Formats: sequence, structure tokens, C-alpha cells
Amino acid sequence: MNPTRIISYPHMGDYHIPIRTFFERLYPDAEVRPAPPITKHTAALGARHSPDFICEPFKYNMGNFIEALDDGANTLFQTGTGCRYGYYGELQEQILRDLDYEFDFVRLNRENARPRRAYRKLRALGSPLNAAQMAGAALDAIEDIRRMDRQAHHRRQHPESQADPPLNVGIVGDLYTVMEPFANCDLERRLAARGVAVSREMSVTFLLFPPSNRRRLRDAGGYLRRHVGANGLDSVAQSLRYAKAGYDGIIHIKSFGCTPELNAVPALMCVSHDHGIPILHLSFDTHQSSAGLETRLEAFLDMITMRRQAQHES
Amino acid sequence: MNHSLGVDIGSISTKGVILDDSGRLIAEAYLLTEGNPLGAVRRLLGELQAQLPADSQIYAVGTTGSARRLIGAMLEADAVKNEITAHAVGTLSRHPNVRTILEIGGQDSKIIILNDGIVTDYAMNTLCAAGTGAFLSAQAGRLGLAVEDMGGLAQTAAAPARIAARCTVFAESDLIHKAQTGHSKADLVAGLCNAVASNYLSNVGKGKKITPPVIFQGGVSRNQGVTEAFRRELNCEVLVDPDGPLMGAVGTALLAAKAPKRAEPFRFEIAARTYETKAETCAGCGNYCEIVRFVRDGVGVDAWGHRCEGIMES
Repeated sequence: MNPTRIISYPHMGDYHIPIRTFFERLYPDAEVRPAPPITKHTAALGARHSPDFICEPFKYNMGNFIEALDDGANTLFQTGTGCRYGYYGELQEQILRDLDYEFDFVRLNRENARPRRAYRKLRALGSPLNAAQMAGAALDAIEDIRRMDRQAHHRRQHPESQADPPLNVGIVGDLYTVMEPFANCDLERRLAARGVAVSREMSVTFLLFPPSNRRRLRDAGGYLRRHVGANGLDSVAQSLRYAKAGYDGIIHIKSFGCTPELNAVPALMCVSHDHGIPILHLSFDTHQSSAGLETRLEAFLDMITMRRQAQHES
Repeated sequence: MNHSLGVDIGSISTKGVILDDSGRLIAEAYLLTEGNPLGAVRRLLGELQAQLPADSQIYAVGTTGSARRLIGAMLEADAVKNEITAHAVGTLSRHPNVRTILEIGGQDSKIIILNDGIVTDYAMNTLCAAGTGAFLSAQAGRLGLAVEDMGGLAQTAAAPARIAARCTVFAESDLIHKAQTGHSKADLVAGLCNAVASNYLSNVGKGKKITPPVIFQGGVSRNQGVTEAFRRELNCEVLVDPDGPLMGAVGTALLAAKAPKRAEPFRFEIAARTYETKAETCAGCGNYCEIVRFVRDGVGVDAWGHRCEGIMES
């Protein structure tokens, strides 16, 4: 008898919850065991087995995979489209094989993420569901994710203690750093603790139902005239929207070396200059002490608070 | 009399001021931190107390600088502020029209842009300490000079050596190379000062509109060579306030004076109590947080370094 299939996958925010439900429906005979929660140990482990200058999602994923395998997983999933993240799966699989782990590695990345190919891959792995049943499971998972994202949006907009009226800050940046709190040093929690209402459009829902390319380019208002990879254009379009809506500030976060977001920076500087809205740029890598972040964040919030007071007085 | 005390504990130096209720400086002290912020503040308080008229009382205490939290706990501070806000508030109290503050300290450098007395933009060096005071000290040591003598020597240079400004590693190898090919010490030092200024402007000052009046402060502002280099590069007057190094302390004293009044006046005897910091690694999860507990007279009063709240109960 074959050993039980134990399915695992890397973390990003709280999305491991709906993903778990989804896999449990796809593979009723398998066990679904998300990677252990990300800790500093995960980051250190991942960094040790990753190329030094690769962006941090690779390193965190790598740590997740190794901890998942050590935890008994034998089937790993990876995805990715848009930027070089789409090619991480191939490299990660090779690194794990070089470490002598034995496992099935399922890549739903790039063209493999298209429904027909994904269906074939998932079937080949032993799912008893037919196409219609699998589509039903996917739709339910999407509905779960949408509900989760709506609630998270509400939480961000209504921090427990609020300045009156609260400061409005928009967060833009690369998808992983924006959505994984460990990667951004709990930025949203730090803002919530200071009573800041946070807006961010980036979410898995956003990635599943992105605006059309024409619309993104139009929304970038001429600050970018073509795509710069992944969500660079979205960062500019969203920032422009926040600027026009009268937000107090924008925080642009990216993993160190993220090319699409680096491409967006000059355009963001122009948005900041033309619309008089401060933008705080932060880069993250896996070795991050939060002291530097606290100083910059506190100074940024002081600045936008004083600006608002000055506007009220004049 | 209602006085306020401000302490700025930087990586290299510790500064302290006492202001009277009209914001006038009535006591000041400047000494080296020498890696021991608690000890430095003890000595600092001794120096400040000696300058204080007998009948005066301190009703507000503020801290800033990289050890602000530690010293804030020691002095039971009313305001614990980041360096950017503190420097802006302090400088504005003396130079209400200032539009640009250039700051180069021991480990970090920053630029603050102001408009009508409001901070509208700022930047801080991020990943590297290129061109900070620590770099200049190291190079002074290499050339067998005291760091204080660099500025004077730079001004005697006939033909400043060209030294790569982008990165301290390159600057250093350039410096060694030029020294070995026979450039005079004065020319080398002048080249180094120019490199610090242009490095600062192309990294920290990148994309910032620098408008006069410009003020240059932080430890490196005592080096006339760097000041002259800024004047040449920016093509405008660059003011150096002799009290420039104290501006962070002045700022945090002013911010503390605005905070809610404390019931009991500040007592200098607080310095005589015993303070201990105990570092430990929490084994509660894979984060292995490095926690620092702050202990006064054997009683724990504060702790930091943890990611979760669990530690506070233990």
C-alpha cells in the first residue's frame, strides 16, 4: 500500500485556511498539512538554502518547504505568475532534491496555472473529482477567499483605537511583501496600533480578478505608459487613486531587489511630487530588525499628522 | 521655574540640554556614548545638574536617538521620540525658516525637507552606512589623523583627489590606491570630504528638492571640509549652527514640555539607582526573540525585542 499522501504548501498571510479546505475536497484520502507557521527559524533556514540576492518570497517559501518536509509532508505545491516568481518552483524543487528530500512537487505556475492544465495535473496526482466537481470546489474556495479579503479590508479600515478623524494611509507594493505580515514586520498591525486606517487593494481576490490592462494603464494617469512587470503598474495606479482621494500618505513596500516595484519607484516619486502626498519607501529582506522600521514609521506618521494639523489651521 | 530636559543618545555621542519655560538653553552637555548608554546618561546628568540653578525644577523629560527607549525607561520620560521629528522640532525652534536639514551622524544620515515649519518629506540612509561619521573616523585612523583635524587639513588641499563616492568599500580602495601613488594627505582628506558630500546627495538626497535656507548638522557638520563640499555641490549657503549637535535633544525637550504635565518633578537622584539590562533568548517558538529586560533596583520595569505579547506575563 502506498504511504498516505501528505500535502503541504508555503504560507502567505492567512490564505492557508481556504487553501486547506480546497485541497481536502480535492484529495479526500490525503492529509493536508500546511507548512509550520513562519518564524525567524524559517527565514534563516530558507536564506541558507537560497541564492543570496534572490527576493525574500523565495527564501520564505524555501524555509516553508523544508519545514513542511521535516514535518512529514511528501507532496508540495508551488504557484506563481507575473514576474520571476513564476520560475521559482523549478529552482526550489532542484534545491530540495539536492538536499536529498523525496517528494512530489506540483507546479501550478505560469502556463501550468491555466484551468485545463491545472485540472490535468491535479487529476494525475490522484484527485477523484471530475472537471465539474473540481470547478465547483475552486469556485467555493474563491468565495471563501473573497469573504476573507472583505473582512480583512474592514478590519484594516477600523483600527481599535482611532485618532479622530483617523489618518488614512494606503499600502502598495509587491504582492508577497504586502500580504505576508512576517515579511513586512507586521506593518499593518503597527499601523493599527497607532489608530491608522489602512487601505490596500492588493489581495488574492485582486490577483484573481485583476483590472484589465487597458484600465490599469489608464489609471496610472500617464505616470507609466507600459507594464513594468508583475504589479508595478498597479502600485502606481493605486497610489494615484489614493493621492486623488486625499489620503494622508502612502507606504510603498517591496522585497529587496524586486524589479517590478523598483521600476515603479520613479513614477511614484512623480505622483508624490505632483500631488503633494508623502510616500514612504521600505525594502525588506529576511534579516530585518524592526528598530529601523519603527523609527521610519514613527517619523512618517508624525510628519503626516503635522501636515494634517497645518492644513486644518490654514 | 518649569524646566524641561532633553537627552539624545546616539550611537557615538550622547547629548543633553535643559530648557527654561521659554525654550532658552540653560544647560547643555555633550559626551561620547562609548557603547554604554546607561553610563553615558549617568555622567551626562551629573554635568547638567552642575549647571542648573539651585531653585529650578524639571517637569518634562524627553529622549531621542537610537537608545531612546532604554533611556526613556530609565528616566521615566514623558516623550520618547524618533530622531527625525526631534531634529525637525529642535531646529525649527531656532531657525523657523529652514527649508532643508542635512544631517550626518555616527551611523546614519538623513535629510529633512520642510515647508512653512512643517516636515513635508524626509529620507534616511537604508542599507549602508556609506559616508557617515563612523566611515570618516575609520579613514582618519587609516591616515593617522584625529577625526577633528580632517576638516582643517582638507581646506589646505591644493588639488583634492577624486575618490569614488558610491560605496565606502570603493571609496576606501580608491583612497588606499591614491595614497600609494603619492597624493598628499591634505588632498586625500579633501577628496574624502567631497566624496562624503556627493555620496550623501546621490543616496539620501536622491530625488529631493533642496531649497535654501539649508542647515547642516550632526557630528560630521563639525568637519568644515564636508560643509565646504556641500556649499560647492548645492551652490548655496549651508549654515552650521554651533549648537547643531544639540538640536535633537532640544527638540525632544520641547516635545516633552508639550506632553501632559507630570505630577512630581524629575529627580537627578534617579541616576544613582541601579539599572540592569538582562538579555535572554525566548524559547517559546521558532522566533527565538532576543528579549531585553530592563530592571531597576531589582524590579523589572520594561521589556522589548519580542514579537508577541506572551513574554510580558512571564
